[in-house]
Amino acid sequence: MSDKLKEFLSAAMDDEADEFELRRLLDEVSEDQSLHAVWQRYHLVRGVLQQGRFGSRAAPAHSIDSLWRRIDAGEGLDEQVAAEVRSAPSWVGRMAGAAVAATVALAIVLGFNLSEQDALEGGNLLADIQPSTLDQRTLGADVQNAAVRPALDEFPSRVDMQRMRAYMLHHAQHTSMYHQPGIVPFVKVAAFQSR
Amino acid sequence: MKLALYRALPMVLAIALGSATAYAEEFRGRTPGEWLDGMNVAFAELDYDGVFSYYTGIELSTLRVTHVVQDGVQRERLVHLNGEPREIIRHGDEVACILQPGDSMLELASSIPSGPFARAFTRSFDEIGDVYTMAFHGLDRVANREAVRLAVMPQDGDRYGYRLWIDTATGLLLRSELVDGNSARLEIFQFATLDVGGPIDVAVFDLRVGEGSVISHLTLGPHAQPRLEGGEMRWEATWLPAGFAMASWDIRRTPSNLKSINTLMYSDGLAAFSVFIEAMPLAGAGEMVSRYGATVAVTNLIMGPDDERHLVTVVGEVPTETARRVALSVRYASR
Repeated sequence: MSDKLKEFLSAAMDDEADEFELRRLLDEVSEDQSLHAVWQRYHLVRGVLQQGRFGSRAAPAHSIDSLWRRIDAGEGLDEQVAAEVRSAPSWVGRMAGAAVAATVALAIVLGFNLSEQDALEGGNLLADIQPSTLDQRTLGADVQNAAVRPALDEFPSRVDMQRMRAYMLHHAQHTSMYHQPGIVPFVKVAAFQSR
Repeated sequence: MKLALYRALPMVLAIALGSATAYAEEFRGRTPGEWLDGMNVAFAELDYDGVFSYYTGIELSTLRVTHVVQDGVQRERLVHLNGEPREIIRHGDEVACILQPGDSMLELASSIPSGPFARAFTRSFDEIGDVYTMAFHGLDRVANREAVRLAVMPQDGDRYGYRLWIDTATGLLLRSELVDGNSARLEIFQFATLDVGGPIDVAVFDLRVGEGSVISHLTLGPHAQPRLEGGEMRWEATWLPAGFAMASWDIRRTPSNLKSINTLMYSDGLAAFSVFIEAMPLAGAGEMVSRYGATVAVTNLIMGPDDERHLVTVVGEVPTETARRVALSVRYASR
């Protein structure tokens, strides 16, 4: 894997890649097994960081609102993510910078395909890693050694989780309006948005 | 002798199976399907005031519900008793949601297509007998009221089952549990207190908005809103669990970038899932599974018209494997 590609990959993780870079990266990732593995590790690390470091942060209000509008906006969503990353404090490194954006994803996460046990172990795995003291390469290596399980490999991006959540809300709302009896689904819609 | 044995067999079976079949087909003169239909009618036609909790498998919400029928029109108010003030006030088909700024429902409200999604699910509960087995399970007590327990269990692994506690006096649902194939409870709904037929001050249905709250208005039911011009649903799930049929479909063009999102809804009369399809040319997303309580969401990338990548998302209260099979079966019918 070329250094240039690694750079693209980092940029993509920080949501700083432009469209051209992203297209090229996606093409490369789909063809190159080792690059694919790195991609997955970076996503794992990002997931771990957000869980270990930012897990207790409350859901930012802006992550809950205007979901549908943001999904409508498509690529505009990525710009917004990038803007948030860039506004992070300067002491935050590249990976940690990605994690800041990822806390927003955390707020939206509806629950992964992990059992509770998996989630706990994932949290422990990350708790030992201090994002601010590790650079990207050593972080990647540590995670690689930590026997990554398949369930954690494909950590969904923030955009993915937002879309998923919006669709869940839509489904709940549709069933609440057209399903009988109405009382229970109505409550579910309320429960979705009160989180 | 042989004939006598045949005659005795049902009774032997009934004893062997215990209380589950003790009530056989009817309880107090009504079949399970009639109890379910009666439950729906009771919710719509009675005056009641109660407090219930709803556990989604992740969170517990507690709400007060007040319902009256005034001049033949239903009035209903649902108030969240915990957390930020949120409530729903319904007058017939008109719904006002009192929300907090930033609630996602505010955004969604304007995008709800009220036309195509007709009330397609209101089929008689007698028709769900092909895919669910219904049986009485004796009497219990909920909210200090006598309840008949009714199990609605799936005949295959493609859907969840329900355990229902129905008020014997009024037919109202007092408690319900959504259960998976291992009898694990995924969702629980239960009244803590319930007053039926007592005097209700209709002033509670007046719209009162506290400081900092916002109102969002919705209209339920089949009110005309034209489908997308020239819209024709070309997407379909080529595999469906037994008993599921398409309840409705919709093509929504989002105002900001004119991207169209195709929505298909399927139901077996009790359970429902939605299928969303959108073009995803730049997607890094692929197969993904997400779960919130009993609701699962499964995604899959497929090739649609013009060799363009599309993201299929199946969301519903069905087992993950069922949602996955549906997602994998979605095709675009070119012609």
